[in-house]
Amino acid sequence: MRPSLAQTAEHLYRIVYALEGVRNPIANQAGLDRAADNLRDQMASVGLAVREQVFYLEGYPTPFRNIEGSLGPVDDQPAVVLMAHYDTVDVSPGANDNAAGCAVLVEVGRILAEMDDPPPVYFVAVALEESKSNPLIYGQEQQSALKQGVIRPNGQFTHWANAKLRKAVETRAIALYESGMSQGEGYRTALTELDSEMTPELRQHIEEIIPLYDDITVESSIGRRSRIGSHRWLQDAQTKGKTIAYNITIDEPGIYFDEAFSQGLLGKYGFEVFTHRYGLDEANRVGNFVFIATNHNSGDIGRVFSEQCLAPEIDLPYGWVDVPLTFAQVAESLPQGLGSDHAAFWQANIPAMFLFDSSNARDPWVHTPADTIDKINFDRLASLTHAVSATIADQDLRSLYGVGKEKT
Amino acid sequence: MDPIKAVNKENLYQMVANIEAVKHPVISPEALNNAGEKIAGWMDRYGLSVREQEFQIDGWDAPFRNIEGAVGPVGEKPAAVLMAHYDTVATTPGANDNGAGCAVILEAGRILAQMDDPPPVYIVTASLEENNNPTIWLPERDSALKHKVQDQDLRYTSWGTAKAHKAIWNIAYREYFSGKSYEEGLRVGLKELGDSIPENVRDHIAEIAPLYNGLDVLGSMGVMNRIGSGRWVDEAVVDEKLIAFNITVDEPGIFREEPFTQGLLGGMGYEIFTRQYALDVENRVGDFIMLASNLPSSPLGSVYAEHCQQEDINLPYGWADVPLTFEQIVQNMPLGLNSDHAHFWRRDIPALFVFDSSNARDPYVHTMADTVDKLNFDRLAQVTQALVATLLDERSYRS
Repeated sequence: MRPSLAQTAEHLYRIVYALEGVRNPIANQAGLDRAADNLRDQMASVGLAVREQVFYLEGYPTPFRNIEGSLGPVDDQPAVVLMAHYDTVDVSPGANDNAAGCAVLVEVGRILAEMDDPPPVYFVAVALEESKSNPLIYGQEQQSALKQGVIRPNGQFTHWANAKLRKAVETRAIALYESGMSQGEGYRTALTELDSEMTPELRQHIEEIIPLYDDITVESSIGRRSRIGSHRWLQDAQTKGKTIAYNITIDEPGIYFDEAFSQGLLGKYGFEVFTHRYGLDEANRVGNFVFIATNHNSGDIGRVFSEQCLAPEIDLPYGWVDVPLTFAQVAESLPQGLGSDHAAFWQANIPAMFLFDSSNARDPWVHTPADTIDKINFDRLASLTHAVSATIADQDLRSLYGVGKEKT
Repeated sequence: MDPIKAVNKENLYQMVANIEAVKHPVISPEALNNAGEKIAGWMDRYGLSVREQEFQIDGWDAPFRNIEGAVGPVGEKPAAVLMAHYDTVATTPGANDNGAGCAVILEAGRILAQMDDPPPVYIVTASLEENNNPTIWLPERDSALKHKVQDQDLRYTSWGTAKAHKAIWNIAYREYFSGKSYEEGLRVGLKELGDSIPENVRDHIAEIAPLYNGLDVLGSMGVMNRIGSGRWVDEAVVDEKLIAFNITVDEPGIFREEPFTQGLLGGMGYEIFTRQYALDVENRVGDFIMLASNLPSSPLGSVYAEHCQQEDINLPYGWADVPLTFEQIVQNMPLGLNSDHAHFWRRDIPALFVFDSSNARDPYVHTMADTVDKLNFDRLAQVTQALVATLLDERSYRS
């Protein structure tokens, strides 16, 4: 039987409770492994068939795992891919980023597994989505910062000047990267621009890390610097000839506020960015809604999902950005839009919808030690879970994207 | 020496980084003691005369310490008292709350001690400002564990438990701010929410409510929290110390340049400020220091505010100059008593409260993310400069 919203909220809570903790190959590989085991068991317990995709980074000994649950005739027919990463940055217990997304994934699995004739769906919990999770890049960066005396072994910057300037370098380099430069070239330019203020140790450190980022661009970073597990999963699926109808990626779905002025700007964008909306309080800038992003060929997923949000028992406010752009156009003009695992699907021209709470435009705790379970609104997260389930089960959407049709 | 230019950002940074740790009387008493020792060491090195005020809490064996450094002719002339607490809640390393406040007053002390003829100033870092009375905290934690409301890491055991517990406490706060004790407030909460409360939460609240007996706006001061400062002021009154005024600094370090970074303070927005300087009201930018004064401390607020506008300091501020006595604040604005300045207001000693507006701006307060990387030491240096200028301004001592 389909669980009530209250039951789903408790289920979601239990999963986030179990996953909370640093899950990062540099800071806590054991935590990352435990999370993978836990997700494997959670998926099996709700009735999904579970497979692990083991992958390696070239030159790094420890294997990484994507945990894939599946339902329905996924081998023969075009399938939906529901995706959420389970790794964290080095300092965060990652309750919202992204244990919450993983919990939604498992609970959607529970609901769809109860159907008589479920559509074919992959539920994929992936590793190494975060920028600070590639040990070959970020691990070396940390070593350099320590060796040069920019940071202390406890992670604190050694001096205020280093703290302030390191952030200034990053801000400038990322702005340049988003405007088309390689990230390494961005650091090089930032170093030149800030030359007069630079401390000797910070200059040395930045010079040391430039080669790590020299060929990292908005497009090439996908699957290399970050979003690695999702990229590997898609590569593997395509090699094996799997047909994918569409993807829904969920990353940081859990922070909602009722207070005025709780919604900040996303990059430089405010509420005007939404092409469709429901239940928003723009005058008071209330951060109480789910953020939907679709591109040129995924608008129908957004349409069906947004209709589900209006259902009286769900009633989930949303802001939907339906950008009629191809991957190349997004990379060129809206690179911030590629910030999670949907990027690999957009890159492969597979329809994909991204669901989140707008991340640091609202959630001040993301990527900090304060990203803990007490911040998450599990009532809203349960509504989101039911809306995603109903979207995937929707007959019109199944027909539109050929979900479950015999392969031709 | 130009005392304004002498304020050293790097020294502020190093002090905050150095005492960043959970400093809690039950969770980490050794870290609390360690921080006290480090502060005493810095005071000594800066040339202050150091005194430790040790105090006990009934029903708890281990003593607690306020660390006091003195400079100038204290005892001879009415002195300034700078106060900042150094304890933290159980779930935070407390860089802004309140390592930063300690650093600001210590840096001011360091500079004054280098002067030939410094004014009389006590620099007091106080213990147990937070809701840290161990004879309340520990039995409450044990009850939460026993009734499976929270686990060892203070995490709620379920979503239903979390929601019910928060809902009851919200009612208790509401009742407290309207004059009741927390005990009464918790009982009102149990009654109002009735059967919607899970049994384990009900049992837990019923068990802990008596711990909050008599703890209303006045009764909680110095008992439930603001304990170290209360003891220091009590002792100063008994010893007939000459005190001119107090400046309390608590959470002074978070400043933001982005739009919409300033939230509401207890439901109030910018209208709370009777005087302001360089605020971006339209974009609600949280880049200013907040000052709170009452009737006796209005002139003191005026001096600090004036120095913020001094050309070589230039610190934006929002100043809530509340034209009320202590008794009127207890009645009408109890939220204004939330830090160590409350004891000075109670004794009719002029006291100015300096902070960044706390959770109206700082989302990290009382979380594990209250770490040194969140603080703006350029602004903290300005806060310190305005403080030093105020201490060197004769008008401050006239009230």
